[in-house]
Amino acid sequence: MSDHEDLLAPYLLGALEPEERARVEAHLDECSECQAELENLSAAVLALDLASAEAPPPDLRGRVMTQIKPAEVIQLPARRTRWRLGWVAAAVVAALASFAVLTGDPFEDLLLSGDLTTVEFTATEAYGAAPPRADLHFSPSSGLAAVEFEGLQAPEEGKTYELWLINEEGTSAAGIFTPDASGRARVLIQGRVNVGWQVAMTEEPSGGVEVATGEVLFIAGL
Amino acid sequence: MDPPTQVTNPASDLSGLLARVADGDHAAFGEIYDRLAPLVFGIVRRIVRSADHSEEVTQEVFVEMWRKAADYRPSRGSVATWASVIARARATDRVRSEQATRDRQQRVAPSWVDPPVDRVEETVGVQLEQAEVRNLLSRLSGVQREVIELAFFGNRTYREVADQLALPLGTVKTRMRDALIQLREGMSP
Repeated sequence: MSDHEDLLAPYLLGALEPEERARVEAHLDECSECQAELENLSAAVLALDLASAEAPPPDLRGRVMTQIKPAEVIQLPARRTRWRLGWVAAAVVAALASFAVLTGDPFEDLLLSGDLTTVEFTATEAYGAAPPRADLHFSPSSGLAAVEFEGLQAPEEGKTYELWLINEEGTSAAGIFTPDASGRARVLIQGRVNVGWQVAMTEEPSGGVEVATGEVLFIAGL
Repeated sequence: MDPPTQVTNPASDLSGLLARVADGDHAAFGEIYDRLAPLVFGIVRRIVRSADHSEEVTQEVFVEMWRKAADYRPSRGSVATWASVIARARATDRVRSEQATRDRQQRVAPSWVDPPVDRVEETVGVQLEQAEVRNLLSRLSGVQREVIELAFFGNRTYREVADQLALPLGTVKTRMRDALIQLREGMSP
């Protein structure tokens, strides 16, 4: 009996340390002998498990489904408009003074919009401790919006951050990004946005996905 | 309602559903939840015990299944086995982190912390009231039952089982395997 085959019973019984479990799984993918042995042994463990199967409370289903589909159902946190009286006001003044201030940088252009509104892009509990400073900038007249972070932690390896636009028709992907080494990011949201919509951010596999799979890390309403 | 029978024969069906889940199909995931929730909740409940915490951990397990659906490999067993491995791992994580918290509290304030209970005895005592489990375990020899009780009901790793019984690791692994084969042979085909 190989060393790995030896670990299949403890694997099924939940009696391995996490590293051993990962090793067994990697080995199983390559060893048909062990796959057959696993199938043979798993019936007994499944029988023991089924003997103590127990229906969870009915409302747990809703909670699980909410969590995997967070963008469409999550409650919007209390909205707090936060004008940055410093440079935003200066930018507004500049925009009013000279209507066509185009810098060539869409993000800068947005900041110079006459009707720029900035709200807090609110971190959810899923982000964890010490959320960064995050703003959602929005210009209703142009439909442009962007998010800005300072101190955003890097996504896990092999992951990216992805933005989502949420309206009555559903949720659509609105661009992927990763912050720079200092945790700074300025990201223009893809697509035009409207008042009443929400913007959310999740962590997703590199390259982004069509349908959100991660938990909502930041969210705000426009 | 008889949840166990719902999960005994759905292997191929479940893997088809899981493939849809990997493509982001929420409805397919809802169906997987309906089929596997009693299995997962039962496993978690047995290990974690607290009803509230069991619900939280069950939720974690399903969210992990949603996220990792694309990583599922049939080589690692049926979808039910895959779910049960995740459930045991997350439930064990929870128990160990709580144990660590209790240990810290005990170091800080030993006087007001409840004396430790023997988890194995307590858990096995509750579980063995179930005729089905008792019936299954009755097929095992004494030494086989001992390792199953410690690992499966007592939530010990095989190394801890070996320590506790003062047996070589190889002996414990072999007894676990023999026990599962013995159980399998006693089951209807």
